[in-house]
Amino acid sequence: MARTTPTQTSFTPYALASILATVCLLADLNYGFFDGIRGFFKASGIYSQLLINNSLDRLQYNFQSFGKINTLIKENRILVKKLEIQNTQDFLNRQTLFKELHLSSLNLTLNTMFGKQNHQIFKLASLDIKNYLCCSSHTLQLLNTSGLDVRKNLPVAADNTLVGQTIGSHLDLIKVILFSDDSHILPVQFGNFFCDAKGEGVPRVIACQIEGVSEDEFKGLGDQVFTSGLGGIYPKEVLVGNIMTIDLIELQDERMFKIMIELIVDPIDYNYFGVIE
Amino acid sequence: MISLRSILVFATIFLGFLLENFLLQFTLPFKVYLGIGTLVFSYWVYAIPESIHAFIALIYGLLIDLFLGQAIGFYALSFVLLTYLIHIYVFTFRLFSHIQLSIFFSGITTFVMAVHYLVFSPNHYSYFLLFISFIANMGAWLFVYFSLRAFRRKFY
Repeated sequence: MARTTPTQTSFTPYALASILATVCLLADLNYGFFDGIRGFFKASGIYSQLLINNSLDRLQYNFQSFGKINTLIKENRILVKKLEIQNTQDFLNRQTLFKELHLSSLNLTLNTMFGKQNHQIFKLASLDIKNYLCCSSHTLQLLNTSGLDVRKNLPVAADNTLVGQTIGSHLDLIKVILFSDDSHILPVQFGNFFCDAKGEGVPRVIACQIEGVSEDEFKGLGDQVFTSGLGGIYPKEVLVGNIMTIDLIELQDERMFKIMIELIVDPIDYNYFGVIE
Repeated sequence: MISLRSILVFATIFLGFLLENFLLQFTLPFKVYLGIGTLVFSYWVYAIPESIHAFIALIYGLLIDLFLGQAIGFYALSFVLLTYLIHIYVFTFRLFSHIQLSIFFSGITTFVMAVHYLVFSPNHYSYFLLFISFIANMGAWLFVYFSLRAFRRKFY
């Protein structure tokens, strides 16, 4: 209610205001005195209303458009996600198929080559690529998921040839030394010649030295190099490489030939390796 | 001096008239004319008589006439007279109950309505309509009174 007590209401201002209002009313009713002002206000009101309606319509349209865009963006995201999943699925299917083909091929090769011997196939866990490409140590690790007891010095095969031998096993990882490791020696034969091919520390390259022979004896031998079976680790007559070069080395009264051999497979290209018992 | 409170009061009066015009389409078929705008103005004069005098009432009335497109002066004159009437009885109203206030404010609203009909639309002048409207405005006064009291206590 009233916060202050009203004073005695004076009649004069109300009388004056009433007269003023009455004059206005009569002038307007009889003579249309305020038609202009009223028209202006009415027009302003109508325009304001139109403006507000237009703005609201535009706002509504924008909201609807925004909603549609949002829906499209959501649909697009869902489709992109589905496409990604589909692509991944396809890739995995291809990989599975490839793996099966690869494994069956490796199995077939191992069965053909070492039919009487047991063999297990292992997946590559890691290949020390840096050392393999730059330095003398060439090793790889195979994943022994089934926990098999894999002994040392067992031949390791890839594709249709041999690539190295096991040298140990740690925490379900089988360590394999490759032929190209400079501490590895592989007894090989080509023609009637036998030698121990030592790794050169270069990918796919091994070399052996032969003394006391003449150049003519190398003629007509062909390029293929096989395992000799000597040493008791590797089976014999498995093709492991091709002769790249034969270099004559002369040291005072000593003559020897250094035969550079290029291995036929590069372990980098394989994911599965067979270990032969 | 135009203060924020004056604008607030005028805004509520104007909204009252807009609501009145909006409700007419639903109430007139039932011969009911709710004078919500006049009731709102009456409430403010009743609640804050110290703030609404003759001049303010005249201005409010002229503005309402302008905005509603009425003949200029009708609501100005009505508001001035209503203000004077309420100011005279402002002490007496404090003794009134809600029903008495309803009758009084509904009565003056119906009177304004009757004059409006007589001046602008004498062909539609109807005692039945005025009587029904008087009853309806008693209820409308209670609605206006409690709504605006809550509003005044919160914002004014």
